[in-house]
Amino acid sequence: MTGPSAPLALTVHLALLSSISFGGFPTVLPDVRNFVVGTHSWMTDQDFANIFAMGSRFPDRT
Amino acid sequence: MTEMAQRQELDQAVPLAALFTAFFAVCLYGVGGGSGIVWARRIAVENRRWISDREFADIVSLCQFMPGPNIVGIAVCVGAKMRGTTGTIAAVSGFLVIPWAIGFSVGLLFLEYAHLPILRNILGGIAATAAGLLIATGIRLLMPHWRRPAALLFAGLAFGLITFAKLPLLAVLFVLVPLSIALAAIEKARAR
Repeated sequence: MTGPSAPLALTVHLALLSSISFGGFPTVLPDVRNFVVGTHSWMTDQDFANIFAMGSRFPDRT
Repeated sequence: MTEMAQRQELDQAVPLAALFTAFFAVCLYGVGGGSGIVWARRIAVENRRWISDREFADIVSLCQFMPGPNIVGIAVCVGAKMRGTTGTIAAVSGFLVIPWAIGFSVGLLFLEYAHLPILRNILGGIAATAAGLLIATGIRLLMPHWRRPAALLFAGLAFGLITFAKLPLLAVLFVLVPLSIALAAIEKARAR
């Protein structure tokens, strides 16, 4: 994470995405990836794939 | 009917803790991929008798139109109906506390050691199956529209604009959704 405003930026972006996530989280997954890996370089593609793998195994992964 | 009337009076008396534990249980029963909606219905309608079958059906159809996960929408609606805003917070936090705790603790621990070969293989395998499930879901959603060229065109456009042109989802939605709705309306008018 870079800078104190990073968590805020992430929150705002996810709130915006969740308001258009008709059909569940998969619809916004590419956009979340572009935001955290592409735009902000907060993590690598490998990190994102790891998080996706873990998230898909939690109870209620919807 | 008198029972219904009593129930109405009791509505106000549903404790916040009960809303919390009810959706906590829904979350636990849903582990492993069972449908949370089935469990939410069993608990809210059959066990606790907070709402009628009819009301639950209305909530589910409403939640299918709302963005975000259906089951969270159900927690919001049931909580709001029983205790208003605070009820909503109690129900949703009951539902989310376990995934949140696991995600936070196990997730941090796993990512810390994600470079270890064995964990990397496990995570890679899980990610591949999860991605496969997503693709399968997408294909299943597309199947009913297989014979409609317009629907396939828009599906292809959305895929191409996001995957190859790398446009943000919001922009793609705002361009394609109005066009797609307009085209569907024209198709329908012509069919008459």
